[in-house]
Amino acid sequence: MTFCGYKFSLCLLLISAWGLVQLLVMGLFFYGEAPAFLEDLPLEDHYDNRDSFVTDVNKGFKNNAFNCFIAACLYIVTLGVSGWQFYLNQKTTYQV
Amino acid sequence: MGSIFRSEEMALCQLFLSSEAAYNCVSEIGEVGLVQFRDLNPDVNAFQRKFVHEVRRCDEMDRKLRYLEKEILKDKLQIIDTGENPAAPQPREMIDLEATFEKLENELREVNANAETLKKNSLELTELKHVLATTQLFFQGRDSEPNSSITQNLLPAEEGKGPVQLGFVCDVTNRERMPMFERMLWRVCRGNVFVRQSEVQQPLEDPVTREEVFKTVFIIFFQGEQLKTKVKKICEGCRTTMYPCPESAQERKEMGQGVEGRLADLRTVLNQTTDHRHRVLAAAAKHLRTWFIKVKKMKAIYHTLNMLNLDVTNKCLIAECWIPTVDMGSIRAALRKGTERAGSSVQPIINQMLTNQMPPTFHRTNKFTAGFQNLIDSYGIATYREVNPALYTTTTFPFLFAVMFGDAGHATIMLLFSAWMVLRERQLIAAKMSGEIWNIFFGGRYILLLMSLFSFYTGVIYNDIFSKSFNIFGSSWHIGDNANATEHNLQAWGELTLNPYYRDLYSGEPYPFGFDPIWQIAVNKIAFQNSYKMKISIIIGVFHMIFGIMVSLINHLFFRRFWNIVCEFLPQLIFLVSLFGYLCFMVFYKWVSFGSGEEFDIQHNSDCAPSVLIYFINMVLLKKDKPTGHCDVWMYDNQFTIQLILLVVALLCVPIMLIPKPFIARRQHNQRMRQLAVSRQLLETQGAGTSASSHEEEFEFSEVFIEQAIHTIEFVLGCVSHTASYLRLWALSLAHGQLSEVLWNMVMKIGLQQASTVGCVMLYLIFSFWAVLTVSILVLMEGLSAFLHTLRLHWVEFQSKFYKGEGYAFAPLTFKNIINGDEEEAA
Repeated sequence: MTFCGYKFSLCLLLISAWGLVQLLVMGLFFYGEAPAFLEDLPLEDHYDNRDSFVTDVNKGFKNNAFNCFIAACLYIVTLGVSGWQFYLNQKTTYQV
Repeated sequence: MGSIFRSEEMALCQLFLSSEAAYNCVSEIGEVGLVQFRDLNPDVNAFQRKFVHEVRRCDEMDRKLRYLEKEILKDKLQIIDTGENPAAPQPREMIDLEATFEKLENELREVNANAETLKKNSLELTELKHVLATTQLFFQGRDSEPNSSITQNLLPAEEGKGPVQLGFVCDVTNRERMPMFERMLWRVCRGNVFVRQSEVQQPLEDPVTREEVFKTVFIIFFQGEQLKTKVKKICEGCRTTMYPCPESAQERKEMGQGVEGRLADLRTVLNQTTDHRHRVLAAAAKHLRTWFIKVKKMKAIYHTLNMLNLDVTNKCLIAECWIPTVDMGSIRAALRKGTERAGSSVQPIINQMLTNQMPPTFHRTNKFTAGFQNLIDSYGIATYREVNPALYTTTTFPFLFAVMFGDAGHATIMLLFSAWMVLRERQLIAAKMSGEIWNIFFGGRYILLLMSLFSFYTGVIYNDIFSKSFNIFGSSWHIGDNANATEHNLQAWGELTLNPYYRDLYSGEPYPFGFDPIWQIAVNKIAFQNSYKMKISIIIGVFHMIFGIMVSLINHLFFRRFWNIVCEFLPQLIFLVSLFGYLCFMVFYKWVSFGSGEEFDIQHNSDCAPSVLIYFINMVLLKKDKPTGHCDVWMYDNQFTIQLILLVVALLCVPIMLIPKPFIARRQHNQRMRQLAVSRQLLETQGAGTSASSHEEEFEFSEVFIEQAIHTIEFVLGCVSHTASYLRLWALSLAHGQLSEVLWNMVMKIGLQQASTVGCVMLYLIFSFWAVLTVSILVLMEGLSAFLHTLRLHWVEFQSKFYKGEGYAFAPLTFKNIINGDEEEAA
């Protein structure tokens, strides 16, 4: 049943916990249109008028926010899987 | 009074122990762990010492215990650690322990030998079984033809000659040997033999090496006696095992059954032997740790007893030892306890001696300060009763680290790790994890915890969390009318410059705590932060060094070196303050009096802000700049005169550091010599013998002068070079910030700038990649680098101002290492 070793499942567990927290926070900030994340948006190189730029910025913020939330959900799944693997590995090491 | 401020006061004491009570007293002293014994028999060979036999017996017991431990671990049994602390056994119990260990060792060796023989037999029988099975196959093919026999000749017999007889032998050998064996057989017998081989499928266990080997069975057919001898010799030479194999199928079947029976019997006996061995080892494993501790304690006590001197009357042992003066009471109590245990009536005597020798340096540390003390001791043990830098290191070390590591995100990662280690320390110590790197991290857990807390603080000041900034209080910068941010201008310029002169662009009130968040996305972020970080690095450095010089004052006062205060402390302080302290003053003055906006007049606005470094250089070169435009040449009135005075004062300090001290030292030495001569004369006239004073001190004036010159040059040049050295605080923090930014822009941004629908999956994968790189590069590598630089700043720049570090560590007889099961032995 264990397809990950002890150390790998522990690493995965920690990274998924971290990813969950950080991506949730990032998602919230993207949703709140924080200017610190302005450079992380998928934008064109050149805009001709102001309105298309503003629309793209708003769209970019919302898209990235949802991307972050979905990635956070994926990390919840990974957290579950790696937690289960870690628990199984813990039990086998005790049975020495 | 002991504290971490300076090392403890030590007293050289003579201990008089009665011979019966000596062992128990030393045992109790070892439990207390605060006495360092001096070796009173340094010229005596190890084999000529008094208790050499006992030490040898302890060594024997230790060896037997190690053998037991090895066997226990081979069987994968666990050695139970109850955590109890058994006292050192009495000398008469040694015989019992020795007998127990001897019995156990003999039993174990016997069982092992038996098991080996049984396994060898079982191996032979298994091979024989395989041989029979394989030959069965060989001959089966032949037996299908009912009338043929192996002895029937294939060729028609020639007249006159009898029927040709083919003989055969069956052998088993390792699979690796087969090609070599076959080739040799072919060459030697000139191709006149016929070999058939078949590999044994399952591996067999070699009894000696206990590994599994693959073997091959083969039959060699030959004709004639000479070939038979040749073949037999080759088989012996190649170390194959020969087995007799009957020709007829019936005999083979009977033999096979016999082999099966014997194999089954052997297997049962083997199982019983291993069970017995297991039981013996399990019983021993319960007591093994206690035995180890007892034996190690005995050995330590006998080693110590070897260092003692035997009194003339042969009734008591004399020891010379260093004891911290505050612990005299507990040592006396330990001695009383030891004497009671031995049942002796003679009380031991402690006699304090006066001596000129330098005592060992003893810092009493707890689990928190031990890490910092270790850092300082790695550079050099403090001189006896010198101020201990470790006290200040508990704060300055994490602070300087944090200045270089300032990122709140990375600090949080470090904080979680170190907090886990600190909160779970009892379980982690009990788990006794191996691995040197883990032990290094765990030993420094309090240092890491403090470093991470301080780094979080500086991360908030630098407003840097994984290269992003937090806008908590509202930025002071806005886009107002004065920015002229029309669409046409933006397209033409590409960048927008916000001039802080205008109050609709810069509100005039700075961000309340830390850097304004706008700097993270500003193009000229580095230019702005450089100026700030370089200046605070110099300020922190100068303050750290002034602090170091102040500590040297405390040392001078304590050791009553009053001339040093005038000849070293004062000129050093004045030199440093008048040059580099003035530099810091100029920085502060510029920060206060110059600014951008309408509140500052035209000479104090941003275009007139002078360069502090140029002022400093001109101060030393006595240069006056020409006025340019509407700006003032000087920052304040009479600046040139004040700078000239400071420079002259600093230069005057140099000969004060250089010249007076050797003359004063010579005068003091001559005074001492005169006093010594007078006192010796007095003693001689009184008829007493020559006093046991120390040898004549030599005083080479030229040597002292050169030494003083070296110290002076070292200090003066050191001031300049060390001040510049503190700029590494700026350099590393810049590097850290830039690395963090590059990692985000090169890695994380790719995940965030996905316009496709699977952007979330890409982000999911790229985040873990970014996380691994963050931990490995930014936390581990940069953390190690900042740690190293902080350590260097402490060891060189700070400690060279006051630290002598010429002491030797206090090495008491203590059983703490033995109880913890440390690898090193208390010599």
